[in-house]
Amino acid sequence: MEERTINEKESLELISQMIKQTKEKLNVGSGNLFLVWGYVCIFVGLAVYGSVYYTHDFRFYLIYFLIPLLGFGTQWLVLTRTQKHIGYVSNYTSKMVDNVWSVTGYVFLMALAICLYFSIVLHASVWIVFFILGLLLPGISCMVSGYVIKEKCLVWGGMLGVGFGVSMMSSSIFYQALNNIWNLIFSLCYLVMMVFPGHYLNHKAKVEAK
Amino acid sequence: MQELNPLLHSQLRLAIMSILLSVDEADFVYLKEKTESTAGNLSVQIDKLHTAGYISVTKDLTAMKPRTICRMTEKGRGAMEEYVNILKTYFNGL
Repeated sequence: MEERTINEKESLELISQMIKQTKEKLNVGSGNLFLVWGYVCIFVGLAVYGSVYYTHDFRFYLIYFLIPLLGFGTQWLVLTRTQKHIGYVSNYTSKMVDNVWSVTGYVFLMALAICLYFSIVLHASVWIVFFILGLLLPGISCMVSGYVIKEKCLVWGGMLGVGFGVSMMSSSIFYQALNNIWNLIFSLCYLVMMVFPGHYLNHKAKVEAK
Repeated sequence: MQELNPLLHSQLRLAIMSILLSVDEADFVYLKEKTESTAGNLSVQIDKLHTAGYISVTKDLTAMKPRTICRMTEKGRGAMEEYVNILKTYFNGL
């Protein structure tokens, strides 16, 4: 595009073309953040499962604390790379989805503080709460994001996460302890909840861009 | 018939304003990609719109790199509204 004067018809066409372009529901790389967090959670879930399976040492559950480190680190790298190539844009939809995930992050922080308090001050292990929230909260956020950007795969994936989160909660109430198999279920949920939708969103955005 | 605002009645400046009309804010890279313009030309036009008070320009650092973020002002929104209203009168007789 150049700096030149245009006629009235071209003006009207240009305005509608530009508005239409920004109204595109998906940008290339829309699914990247789902992929980042999805793969990180799968990797960590499998690492915990493998470690506990072979050693029977439950201290390996501490590996879950790598999730925020790996997640935010990779997210930073991916966002930097994406914004370098396709730029940054913010609209009502993106702000709403961002806020939903921010709330999820704040609740996790609050849960972390409460679990630490119980562990350190009251010497009571309530980390199972954190594990259950790990499926419930992202599940709900995936569902809300799916409704906002009108992507059913996110809604269904999120529903699965919420379903297993509730199942885990029920299981922990009845049996008091969690089986190592839940680490595998945790990874499986993230595969369906975030990785499949992430790849689907990226594929769809690429097709739309063409 | 009223004359169209000359500041907006140019291809690149109108494209920038149209994009900013439908988003909250966008950075230089996004505008460059959507308008398919050169960095130099885009920079000059952004500067003109900023000087006229139609857009606000802020600079921040992301990943240790400077980023220019543009956002439409109330004055710019008013100017676009007026521009479109005048444009409509050109087609009313058709």
